[in-house]
Amino acid sequence: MTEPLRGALAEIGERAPVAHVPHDTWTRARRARRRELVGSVAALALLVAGSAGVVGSLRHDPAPVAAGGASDRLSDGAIPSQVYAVPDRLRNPTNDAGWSGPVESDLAIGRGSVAWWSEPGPPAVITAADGGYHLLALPGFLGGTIDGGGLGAGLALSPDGTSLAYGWSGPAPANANQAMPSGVRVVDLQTGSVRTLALHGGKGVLVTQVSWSPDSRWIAWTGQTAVSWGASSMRFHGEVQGRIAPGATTSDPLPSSLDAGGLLAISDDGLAAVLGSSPRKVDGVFQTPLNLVPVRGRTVTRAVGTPTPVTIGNDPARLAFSPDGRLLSLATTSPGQFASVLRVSDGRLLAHRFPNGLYPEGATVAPLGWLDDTHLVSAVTPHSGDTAGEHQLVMMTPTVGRHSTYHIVGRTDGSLPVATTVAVDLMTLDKLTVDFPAPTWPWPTEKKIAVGLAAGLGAAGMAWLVLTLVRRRRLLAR
Amino acid sequence: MSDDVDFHEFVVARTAALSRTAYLLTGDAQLAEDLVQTALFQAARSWHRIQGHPEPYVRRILYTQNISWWRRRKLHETTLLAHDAVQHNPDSDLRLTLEDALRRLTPKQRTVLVLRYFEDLTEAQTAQALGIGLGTVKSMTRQALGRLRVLAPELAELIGSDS
Repeated sequence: MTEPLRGALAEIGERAPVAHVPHDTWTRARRARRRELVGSVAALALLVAGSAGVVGSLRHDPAPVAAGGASDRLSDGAIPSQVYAVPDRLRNPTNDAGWSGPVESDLAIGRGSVAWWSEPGPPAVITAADGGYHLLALPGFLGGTIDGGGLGAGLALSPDGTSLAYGWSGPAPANANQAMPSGVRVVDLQTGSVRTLALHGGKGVLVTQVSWSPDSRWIAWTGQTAVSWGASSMRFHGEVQGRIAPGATTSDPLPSSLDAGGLLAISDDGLAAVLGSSPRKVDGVFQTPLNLVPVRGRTVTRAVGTPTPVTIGNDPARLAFSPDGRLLSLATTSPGQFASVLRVSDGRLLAHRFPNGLYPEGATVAPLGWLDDTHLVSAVTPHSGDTAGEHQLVMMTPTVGRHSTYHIVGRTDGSLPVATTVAVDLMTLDKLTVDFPAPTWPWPTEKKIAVGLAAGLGAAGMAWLVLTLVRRRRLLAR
Repeated sequence: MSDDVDFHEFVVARTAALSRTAYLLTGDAQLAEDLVQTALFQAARSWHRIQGHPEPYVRRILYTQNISWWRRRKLHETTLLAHDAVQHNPDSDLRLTLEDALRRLTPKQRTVLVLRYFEDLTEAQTAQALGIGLGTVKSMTRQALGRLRVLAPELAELIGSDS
């Protein structure tokens, strides 16, 4: 099986140009090495001297990781017009199983506006009232315990911003034959309370995607059933999906006969939309089964025709129901010139063609939710040009017409995952997004020690120089 | 023989092979060159600490640095480069589809695939090179192959069926 793939990869590799290596690489590298040594000696000297400034730097960083810069707190909250990535230096794992940046255990941070997780690092939430950035220690969060690497870890902010749902696991049972405790947890961001729902199947269920209904009451989830799941290794088989009714402590599974491709949405009345994972090309168009599973009654299946398969790159893209449940916004894969919306009643695809010339090489679309029944919100990622890679927050109508709109209302750093969730209820036609000041990122504690040491060394050096000059003058004066 | 001479001999002998791996990891010639230059710079800085042949150390930097970079750099337009001459080969369409599909994998999925099927590392060697668990390598490999099957059904001959 693998020989043809090996050969194909080798052929690709053969076309690679040989990298140019500057002739002074060795010299520059050794110079950098010498600078490191000088810095280490200086730091050690001051550590022995015992600078008082070092003690001051050992305090824990205060939460949040970047305090909101808004001059006034917004009582209703708002979506920021620009979302920044948390710097890598604050998202690195430490030897004591912690993180290099300040992580909050008190989850009562208030209503959220944007939430995401990307490895490495803990989940991040921006608070709606002040635009502050928070790194959260979610109990049992899957992203903190496994190397996701494409499996991902389900995390979703509710459309009203009051709750955060995510996949959890652990602790690993003492008996390796027992299943790994796992499931979905829901955090109330206003009280900090955590509701736990355990999922059962195989040796545990790894939840990879979580979705909310537009009214923030129902939850749908997608995951994989484990064949084995230990503290350091795991093996999975088959995808499973389920939905959680408002306030429930158990989950109802969706039929296992569905083609569960990890794309799932749920409406305000609990109707689950499951988009199949295996599109088939029929007459040049990809046909994908869309299964509509009501709380009671028969499942209805429609064949959705799209020019390209509906997954985006490396993140499980979301579907999103309109509040009235009539429309379903879809993700698009390869860069194209339109956003797609499905009319649930008959499976007809509606398209909003992007403004002429806005994305010369096309753009991909990831649904985020709906402002109301006629305005959807999506993350649009241009494929090329000056804005290539950044995610644009766009509010648009499902189609182009006399009263249509396409409005770029915000931007997200391109390194953030497509699966970033936004509390779309905070957006109104009068106040789509708000300009918050850019966050000021702190330095990790270790860096503060180094800065303290350097400052102390500088002060000590100056003191020595002054003393030397004073002594020399006294000698000259004699 | 002095360290600087050893380093330069290593660069002359192995840059081409490192470039092939870097290109497969990044899918872009310029990024691949940056990756190779960075890996060799870091190796030179730590040359005195490397025991045995330096290549495994340098390759490990390629693998992990690429994953770290991906989070910071933006996507940019990819175009056919001068060296990508049209292949008069009945399989040339298949190669372009594989390259396109590789770009849609996560950096870790792509790295695991390149290590397992181009570098010919075992699952255990791949896990050690990347500093991840053996189970993670297995699951990532399965996911990467599965995603290639979904994104590009034309690659079925290369990848084989799901098992």
